[in-house]
Amino acid sequence: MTRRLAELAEAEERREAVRSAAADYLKGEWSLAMLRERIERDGIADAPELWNGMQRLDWDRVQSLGAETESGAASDLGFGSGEFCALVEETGRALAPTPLVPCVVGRAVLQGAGADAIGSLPVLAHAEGERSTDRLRTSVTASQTTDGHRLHGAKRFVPYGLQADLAIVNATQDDGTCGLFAIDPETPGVERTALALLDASPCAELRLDGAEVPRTARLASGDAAVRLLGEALALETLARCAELVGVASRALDLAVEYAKQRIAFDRPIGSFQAVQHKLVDLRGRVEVARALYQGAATLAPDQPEERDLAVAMAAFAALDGLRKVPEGALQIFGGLGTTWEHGIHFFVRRAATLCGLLGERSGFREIVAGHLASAS
Amino acid sequence: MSRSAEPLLDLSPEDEAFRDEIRSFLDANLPEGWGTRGHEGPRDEAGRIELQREWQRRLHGAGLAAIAWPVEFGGRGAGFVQQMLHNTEMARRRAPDPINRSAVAYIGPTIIQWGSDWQRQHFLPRILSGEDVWCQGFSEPDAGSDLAALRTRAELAGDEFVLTGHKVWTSKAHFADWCLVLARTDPDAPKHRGISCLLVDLRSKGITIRPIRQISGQSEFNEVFFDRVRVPRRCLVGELHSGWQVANATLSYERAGLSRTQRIERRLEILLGLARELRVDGRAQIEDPAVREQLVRFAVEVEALRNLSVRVSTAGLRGSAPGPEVSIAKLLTSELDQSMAEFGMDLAGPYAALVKGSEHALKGGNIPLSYLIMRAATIGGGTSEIQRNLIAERVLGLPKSTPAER
Repeated sequence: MTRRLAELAEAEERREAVRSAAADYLKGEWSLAMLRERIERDGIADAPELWNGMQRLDWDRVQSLGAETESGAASDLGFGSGEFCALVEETGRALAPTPLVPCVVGRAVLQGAGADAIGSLPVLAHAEGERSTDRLRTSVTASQTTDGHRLHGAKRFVPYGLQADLAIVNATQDDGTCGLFAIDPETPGVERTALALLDASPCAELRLDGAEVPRTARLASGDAAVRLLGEALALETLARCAELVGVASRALDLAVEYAKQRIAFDRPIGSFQAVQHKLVDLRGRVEVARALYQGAATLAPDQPEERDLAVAMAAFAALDGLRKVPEGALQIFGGLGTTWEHGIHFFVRRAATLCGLLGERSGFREIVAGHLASAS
Repeated sequence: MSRSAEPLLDLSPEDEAFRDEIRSFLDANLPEGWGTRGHEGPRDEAGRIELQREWQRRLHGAGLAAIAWPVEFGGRGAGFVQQMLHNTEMARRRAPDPINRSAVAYIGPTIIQWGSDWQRQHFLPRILSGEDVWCQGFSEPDAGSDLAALRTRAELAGDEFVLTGHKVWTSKAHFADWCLVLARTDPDAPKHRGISCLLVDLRSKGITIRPIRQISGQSEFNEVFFDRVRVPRRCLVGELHSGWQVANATLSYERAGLSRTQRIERRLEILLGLARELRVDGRAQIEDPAVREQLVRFAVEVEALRNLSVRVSTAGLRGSAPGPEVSIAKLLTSELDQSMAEFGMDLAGPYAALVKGSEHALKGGNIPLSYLIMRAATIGGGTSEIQRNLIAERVLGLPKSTPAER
């Protein structure tokens, strides 16, 4: 027990070191004003120069799957999901628009599969137009050809799908099993269309109309593919929860700061209990969601059921509680918060977008409910 | 809900005749295509304004522009049942908003209650016909929830006021003709006692109007700057320095207006449609018990608020402003409206993230757009926090948490 606590304390320390370094870096490189400017200029929230800087600091190499060590999955840098998520939480706080999450998840899959080429921006494309609680379900098919595979179907809601140089797609194979394929988006039969998101972050739809890929494009098949995809989805979900926690916590900090300064009825509005209790309740939501994603991030990947339950709890808490935090923060700003110029709405937009892309609420709900039912 | 209020009411012959009158009016006057499925009306602001002006004129022509006003001022003196019928029929046919909906709801009644004979005779008919479009200049950058902290000054010089200051959240100012303005006329008096209420011609010299871009991307509101604007003394509403009482009446009427339920009724219909259409695992979400429970909660609240809001607005027509109960209706209606817009996001799942112009966007991206627009519902017309204070103090009679507002 003592040893376990010591380990946790050490992990906590490591995470904190990562977090504060990331916060310092982002503070120097990115601001809300820059985000607003970017969206007004390009109509897209993307900061390639920031992403280049992050890559120089190896932020894109903090995580891999399948390479099992004492503390679970670890990266080239010896980091696990905990550290990765701490990094992502900070990018959420800064509303820094980069492909950090899709890239790290994509790379983790490639490394887990032992792929040679990892590309500069590989992204996992799993979501589809038809909504499902079964995240492994797909209507994309991959049929065997003489020298490879032919893919049909479509993936929707693919972050950075237009910018990606490799798309990792799960598909149902001829024998009904799952296959994971790494597809060069320039392949004939692959068509990419931009989707316009509420937070203006880059997103695309990927249509596969008989796209032919070589045999080497198949990263994994059958149980191995299911296992790898499960790990990747868990990582992506946790990362999005972490980002949501970051978005929510910064929006809340801004509201708290404003409540200390804004004067009404001759005193700071933060001295009114109506405002205080609202802010405290929002803080509670952030703490609950953060505790859940951090807990899930420390679990070893060799216990998929335990992991999926923890991830589902984190995701449910995030969906249930975190969009309300920027919403509540905006309320504290009053009329000012409803102006484009002020910018608190960028947190509302980002949180709503991340919640939309996180996964089906009823799916997470049923995972937890199913566990409760079987545990009694 | 698609059913009307009729089964609940045993209509008198007069009320039945009134309902038939509204129905015939709508049959004859509703703009083409209006109210049919998928019809959105003009997309640009100019077209929308023109349509709303025309609708105001038609309502006025039929004597339906302000049914709740007393007969002597061009209204019908309509009571609870007729107002409910009116609202139901208009909502059922999705009639457009007349251009002076808000002026009819709270500026006219303020003038009726506090205005001089000249003001009543001159302004009320022009509100009804839409000849003058009105806006309201109360809030300032440093006087929102604490409205009485306002700093815009009006100095009386002879038979004119000289008005200087900065108003904000003034909807319609960019095309309105007149503005109801609160200004400080006695800077030495306690803050609630040195305020007066003025009717200001927006074509006067010294007025600058700047639109405010909202989070939805739209610009419904403006900032209005007054620089030594001359306002004739006959445009003072009520007594000098007693503008706070006038404003409280206006605000009560405004809250009554904001508690009208057409919008939540429509939104409930939209949510029901979404829950039927949108599938997860191939199953319509309306089959999910958690979704059903939420929809039932909304439907029950909408039904309650339909009754409450009409009662609240008719209470105000018996010669005085609506009572403090109106804050309850405003609070509940705006919070319900906002929660329903949020639930639309939940139902839409990943599609909630797709905005207008995107491939696969649902309803032209209206779900996230409404979600953003509805953030202001619990802020405009008095924040939810202020409504709760008012309810605590004036309805429940609890001790004041803020300095006295008298």
